[in-house]
Amino acid sequence: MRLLRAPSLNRSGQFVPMAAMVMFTVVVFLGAVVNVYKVARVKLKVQNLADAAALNVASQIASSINKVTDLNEWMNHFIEVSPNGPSKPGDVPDCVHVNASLPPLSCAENPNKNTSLNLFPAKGDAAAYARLVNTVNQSQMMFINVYNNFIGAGVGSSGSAASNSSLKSILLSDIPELADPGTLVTIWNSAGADPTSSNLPPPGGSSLNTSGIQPLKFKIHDITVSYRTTVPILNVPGPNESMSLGVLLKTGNQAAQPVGWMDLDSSASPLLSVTTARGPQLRLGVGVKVQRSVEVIGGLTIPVSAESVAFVVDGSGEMGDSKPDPFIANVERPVFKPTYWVKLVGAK
Amino acid sequence: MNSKRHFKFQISNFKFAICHSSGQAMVEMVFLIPLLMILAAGVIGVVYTCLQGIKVQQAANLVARIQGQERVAGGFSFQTIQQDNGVASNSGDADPTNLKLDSQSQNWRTLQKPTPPSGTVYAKIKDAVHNMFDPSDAPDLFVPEPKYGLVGYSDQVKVVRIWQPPSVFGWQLPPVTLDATAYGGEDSHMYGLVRWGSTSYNTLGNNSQFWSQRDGNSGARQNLQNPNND
Repeated sequence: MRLLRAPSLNRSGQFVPMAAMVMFTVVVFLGAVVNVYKVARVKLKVQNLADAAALNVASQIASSINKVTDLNEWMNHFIEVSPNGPSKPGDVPDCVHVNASLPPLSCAENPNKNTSLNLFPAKGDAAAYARLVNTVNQSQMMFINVYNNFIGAGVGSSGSAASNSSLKSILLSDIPELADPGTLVTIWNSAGADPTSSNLPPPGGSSLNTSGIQPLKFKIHDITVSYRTTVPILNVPGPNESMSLGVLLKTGNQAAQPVGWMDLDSSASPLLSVTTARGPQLRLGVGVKVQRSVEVIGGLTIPVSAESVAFVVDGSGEMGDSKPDPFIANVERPVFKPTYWVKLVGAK
Repeated sequence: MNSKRHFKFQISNFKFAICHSSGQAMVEMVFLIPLLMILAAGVIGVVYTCLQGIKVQQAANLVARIQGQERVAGGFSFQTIQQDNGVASNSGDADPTNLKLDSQSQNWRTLQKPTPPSGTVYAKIKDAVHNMFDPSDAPDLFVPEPKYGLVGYSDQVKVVRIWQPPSVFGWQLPPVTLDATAYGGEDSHMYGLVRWGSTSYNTLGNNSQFWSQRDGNSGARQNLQNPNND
């Protein structure tokens, strides 16, 4: 009886400690729930910031390519060329009805003196055409230099944090939360600049590091044209000749500079290895890593980071791609379509 | 001692322990059980609020991507662009974040506006948000019109969910405002420049030129060539 009674008597007042234990457990559970919530929410937030920043910068890259491509296409529209009206971007112009002195850029190439293709009436006409195209090329180069300096990667930039101020100011004005205290943002566009370290953000501060941005490189395809000649004195047609636009503009002993349509120099431009539906591919793109620290209940600080890569979709625009001439058999022409667009790696 | 007696003893012993040990445990239970119930309700409330908070951020991230991919940036005129985006009539939900919420009148519900015409980008965004929540939450969900990026590359979207907790013993807890902001990339399919296209458009009011996002006849998206399957 004593054995049975004793524990029974000891039960008196047990509810308080039991309730206290339950409450303590509940409070700990609540703390854990709130901590998980805070970390999960910040994780979602930094992932969105990384996605948005990657798309933003990649869109600027695509936009710059479009600008150059559009100026190529602009040279297809010097004059009203065809009874059908101007060609659409990405289409081959009607090269049959062209003004031979001022052909659309897609129609100018004729390296083999083919009489069914464009023949400039004289060398002087071809040289004038070369000067015109060269002027547009110079404006393209100016744009590219401005663009590369703008992103802090051009000849005129030092690569320091200050030289990236334009890119930073655009990013921060579009995505102001990138400047939130404790947020560290790293941006790169070449495989070599991919940051491997995962430093914690400086306490109370923020940082937007764009020093991993490398300049885009473009090259000019020197167009070889053909022109008619006249035999001096006799004033009769001579043999047709061909020459590149760059050589036509060459003066003195200086090296000939290419003149023609501009294309992205893939071998010299920064590329990222991205996984597309076809597997790993090298593409123009941008990687962004966003790090942020979360202070959780219990005095701990948990680092949360997210990475995102956006790239320019291959073939979404056309920059000198060859297409069959619908008006002349067995001839291919370069076409230009300024519609490059971007997507996130992993996005459908 | 047979089993019956033993049982009887136990019962009486139990009564003694509960009722006659200074009456302490009963008093404790009277106070603590309601307290524990309130605590349990609080826990459920906090957990639910946290889950809803995460859901609101998920919804914001989703609609930011939709806004980034779908937002129309080219068209026949500014008006048609706004129509395609579903923001032509400036009829987006008002942002209740700064409103002083009143539980009695549920005054925040007056800030909600009807969903814009289907097929527009803004309608897709609102539908996507509403599909993520229970239909009964619809009156308390707000998706203000997206704010375009200052330079045009990243738009800002906001999702707000107001949760009215149930009253506890006649005491009405204040409404909880959960809001999340997310950013979407610019319409990456719309780089085509209008300079070389005709600006005429068909009887549907859609432009079928290469720089228009939708085909004028079918209404399907165009210019999304991905020839290399990137």
